[in-house]
Amino acid sequence: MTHRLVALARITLCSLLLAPLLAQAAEISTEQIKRGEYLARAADCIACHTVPHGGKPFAGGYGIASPLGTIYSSNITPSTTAGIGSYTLQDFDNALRKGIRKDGAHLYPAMPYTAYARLQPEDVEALYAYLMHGVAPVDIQPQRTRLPFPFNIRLSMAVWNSLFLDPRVFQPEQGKSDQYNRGRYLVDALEHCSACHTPRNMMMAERSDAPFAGGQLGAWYAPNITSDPVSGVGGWSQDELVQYLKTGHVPGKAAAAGPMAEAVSDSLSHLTDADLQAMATYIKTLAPIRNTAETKPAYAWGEAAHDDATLRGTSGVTQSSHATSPAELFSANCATCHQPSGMGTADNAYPSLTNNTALGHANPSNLIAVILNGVDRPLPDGRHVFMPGFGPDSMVNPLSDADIAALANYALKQFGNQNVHVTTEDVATSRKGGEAPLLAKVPRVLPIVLVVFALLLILGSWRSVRQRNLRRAVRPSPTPRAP
Amino acid sequence: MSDPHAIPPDQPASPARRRVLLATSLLIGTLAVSGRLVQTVFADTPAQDAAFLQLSQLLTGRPQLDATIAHRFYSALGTKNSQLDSQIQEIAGEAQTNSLTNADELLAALDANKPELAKTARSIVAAWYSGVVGDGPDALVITYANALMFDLVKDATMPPSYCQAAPLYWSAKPPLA
Amino acid sequence: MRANDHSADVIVIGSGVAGALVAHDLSAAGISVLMLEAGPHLERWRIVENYRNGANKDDNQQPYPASKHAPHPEYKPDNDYLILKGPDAKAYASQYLRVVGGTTWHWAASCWRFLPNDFHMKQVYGVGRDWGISYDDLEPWYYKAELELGVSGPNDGTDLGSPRKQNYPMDHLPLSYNDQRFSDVLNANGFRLVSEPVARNSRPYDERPTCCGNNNCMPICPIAAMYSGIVHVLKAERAGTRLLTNAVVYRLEVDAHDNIIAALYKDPEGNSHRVTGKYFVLAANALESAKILLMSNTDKFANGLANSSDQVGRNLMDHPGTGVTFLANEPLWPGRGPMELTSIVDHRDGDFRREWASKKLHLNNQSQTRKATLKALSMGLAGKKLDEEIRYRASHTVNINSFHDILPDPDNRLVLSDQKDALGLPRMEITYKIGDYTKRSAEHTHESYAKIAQLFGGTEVTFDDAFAPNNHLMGSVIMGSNPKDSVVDGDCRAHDHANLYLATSGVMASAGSVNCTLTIAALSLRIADTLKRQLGHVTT
Repeated sequence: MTHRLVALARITLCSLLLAPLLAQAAEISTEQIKRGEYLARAADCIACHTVPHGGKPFAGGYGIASPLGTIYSSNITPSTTAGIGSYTLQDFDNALRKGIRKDGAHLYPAMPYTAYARLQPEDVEALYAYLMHGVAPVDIQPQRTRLPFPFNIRLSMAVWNSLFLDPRVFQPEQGKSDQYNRGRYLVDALEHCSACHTPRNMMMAERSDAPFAGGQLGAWYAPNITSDPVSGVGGWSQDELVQYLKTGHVPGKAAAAGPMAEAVSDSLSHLTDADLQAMATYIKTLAPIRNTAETKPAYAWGEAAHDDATLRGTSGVTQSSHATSPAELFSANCATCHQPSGMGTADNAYPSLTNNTALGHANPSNLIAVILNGVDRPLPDGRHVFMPGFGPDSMVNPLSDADIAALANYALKQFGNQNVHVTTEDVATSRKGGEAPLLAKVPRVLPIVLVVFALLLILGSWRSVRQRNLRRAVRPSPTPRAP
Repeated sequence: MSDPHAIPPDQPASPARRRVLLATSLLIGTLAVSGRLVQTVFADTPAQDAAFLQLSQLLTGRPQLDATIAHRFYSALGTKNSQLDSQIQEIAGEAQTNSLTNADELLAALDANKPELAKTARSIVAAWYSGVVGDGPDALVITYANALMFDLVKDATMPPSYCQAAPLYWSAKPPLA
Repeated sequence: MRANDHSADVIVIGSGVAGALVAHDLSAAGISVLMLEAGPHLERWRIVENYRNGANKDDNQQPYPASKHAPHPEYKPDNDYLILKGPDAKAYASQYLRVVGGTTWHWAASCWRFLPNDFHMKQVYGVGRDWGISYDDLEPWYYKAELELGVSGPNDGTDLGSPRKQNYPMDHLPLSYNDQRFSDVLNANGFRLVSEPVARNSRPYDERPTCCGNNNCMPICPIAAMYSGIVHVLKAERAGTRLLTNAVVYRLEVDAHDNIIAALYKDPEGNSHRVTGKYFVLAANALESAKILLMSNTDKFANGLANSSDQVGRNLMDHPGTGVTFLANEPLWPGRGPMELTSIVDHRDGDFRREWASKKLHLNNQSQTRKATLKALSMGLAGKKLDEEIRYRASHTVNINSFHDILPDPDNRLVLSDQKDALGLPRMEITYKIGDYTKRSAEHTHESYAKIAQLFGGTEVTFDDAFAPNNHLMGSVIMGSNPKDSVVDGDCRAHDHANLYLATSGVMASAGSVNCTLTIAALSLRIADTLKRQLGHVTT
């Protein structure tokens, strides 16, 4: 009881300190803007708020293909007409941490405000300083988001928030090192890792019973990053985690593609080594969660291929567009860079396909998505890892879904998890952006959704009352939610 | 600058090579292994295949040759030389009788005494180095990337159509240059 | 109107870099385009495997097996598709491909602009012909072509003689050690060696990866880091172009106003089909385009279409090449990186062009491992000596080649042969003679080769003085301002037919000393712009 009271007192004190801070913006210093810039990197604002390949920084308009429809990011430049130029610090805090725009409308949780809710006031202030003073205003209104009914009712997000938004600011955990706490703050708040790596429930909220146990993001799979040695990253060393976050590639372990490559390129590779070490420290402590379908680590599969010894002189020289074997498809499409053995180049610039998590997970999404879409991972040091895609838009070799499935199965059997099989339909699904979650299949299941929605409304209002009561009575400690 | 004629130091055995080493071990009867590779080699004509592989090792000076490719070379050479089996025996006999343990000595001896056998020996050498058996329109391509000529220069260049290293690697100084 | 299998606003004949650029640009502007290709579609990956499976790796045609219905020249063994005559017949034993994407499937991808004086040879140097357009007319289109193809070049201020208004889309690729050494030695000894602009990615560009130096530009870039016409075929199709493959065009039909109204083609079984359009773009390479015009003769146009000047099929040009190979006194290791990175450009322009041909020399950075091995094996070596010999030759071999200018000569020509191909269409008979203008230059080139060999302490110096083809087919439908002595005007439009455009290096009125692809591309984009205006579409 005493503990709770102390905690309550701390929170009250915090609120008292916070109030004036939010009420009037402190003086803006260059240093604060610089810090805000770094925080914006760490929060990876640019990933969603800038159209890739030439969009104006932070001008929004990037279409985020959510399972419910395309959500267009807002303009967060200091433009008073199109951006957040007229936002006060309080307005900014409301948007960033509560998902509520200045006009009162609710944001969709494609904006990770459930993570940003934990940002500390001085960081919110620095971010505000940077976006208001370190970014050029762009007076262009991005395209409006128009989701289908019932998701177009933004007020529904109020209900969702009452259920799934934890408004508590991050508190360092006592008895833990500064490095751990810094890492936890970076992972949970700024980098919002759980947004992808935690599976989502039927209502598209992160599942509190399975933090960091791996989540599906459209065509891509954000793997389990708990400390489990089989399903998670328990077998990775601290330095390997740091190297991965910094460069997106650890030979013998994994290479980042898709959204993770973007996170590395836009955000993680710009962090200080100290911050990356801190993140790794925290990640190594995440409570282990095992996927029972997995028997050995995703990076521990595969053997070098030997098919080149039998390929030559068997197909001859032909005009045929049909491969005589999956091995031939591999040789023709992959072996130039990954080598006939599949072991990559000696300098690992073209990675080995064995000991590569894209081929080792029980979930083959990333393998399919990489073959379809390639890899695009520019790094601040000038290196630019680029693998072309082999989907229908390929400028190198557009392959059919069936050929991609054959290629994936060859690769899985030779270099990866032999228990996994890919079908032509899996490739078609990936090409269309992945399996839609239940909630998105609204037209087909609309009646059910409406009933559930109504129930949730009732449940939600009950729970939000209860939560408020709870918050008043008990002061939650800053320990992580129980798995 | 080092001797331009120098041969690079032996590279650590690649996984493929290690597998062949296993097969070679089996040949001299010191280790029993099972699996696809060995089955491929000994499926039909174990004795001839083994003899060809052993002679190839002598003629190329390489103890670690790919057994699958050896089998394909042996078959392809056989289509062009009906005397292949007996000539392999004779060449091996020549080497054994005169205790010749390297290709230079063996070929010199054959050139001097048995020019017909020298020709066959050279066709085996040419196959391993170029990956091709015969020439002209009837040439048979047995291997490309695994031709020994590429192994010989792999510290500097790759078989064309295969990447060597990260893009733009080529501005660096090549080995021994 | 949307294109269907029978008609479109614009009919494009040929799907190489020229036709594909036109088709893509028009389709992107919403114009309906039907593109006919005589040959089949080949998958890049299949071509790669064909290369690896093929025995004759020196033959760039080998991975592209010719179709019976649409043969292209094959030499190993010779399929006699081109009937070659004249004193220098062998120097016109050209390679080209009749497949979707055309001959830029295999090329060195060097993307030079012509020099301003190349367009005015008669006016400036009193030899050859003038184009009727100038470098300045083409400059914006050169730049657009560089953007479309993805050209990397020296953005460091190196003057390559063709004034630029913008930087190259990509910085140039770093030189290989071989090229670097060669450059250092030559530039210190009175030569001028420069980094060559190439349609090869020095960074990811246009969804294609960075060059990884797999040293296989010819016969096939496995990863599409090097540009090929197939890139714009894919883009054109995605923009709405309808592509008919295995459609061998053998006749264009004219109406009473001398406008082209239809193209007739045969399918592989020999059945005839007819497609109609408002405009026709003949982009079937210099030889095949001329052949189609000659085959389209009527009572009124007895010599074939677009041929009132009697110049169709004449003025054939290429860049006659000579070479030298020697062993340097230091290891250079050709074969690291792309096949060609640098050029020697001392004699691309100057008053000497009144007397002898301009030229460009270039170092071959192709891997010499295979040739070294065949040579060492032929020496009868084995064991350690064999290994040493191969390594020595692979690392020390220097091979230099050249492009020489040639003057347009009406007697260098193609005519329709009495001999027929599998579809019953006439084959081409080509007569070719290389004049003293070029030979004088080649003698000078020989001296340069000797000097370079000396600079590297060269041994086994072997001169290839016999002229070899470089497959840069030009002049067959030559451009000029006078309809009496030329086939097309400065817009590449046939003087005789208002709705017929020729997108081919055949229009080029001088050969210059650099390969013609970038100039074809620029001319083609300019044709597309003209057509967009003609069809009432806003130009870019």
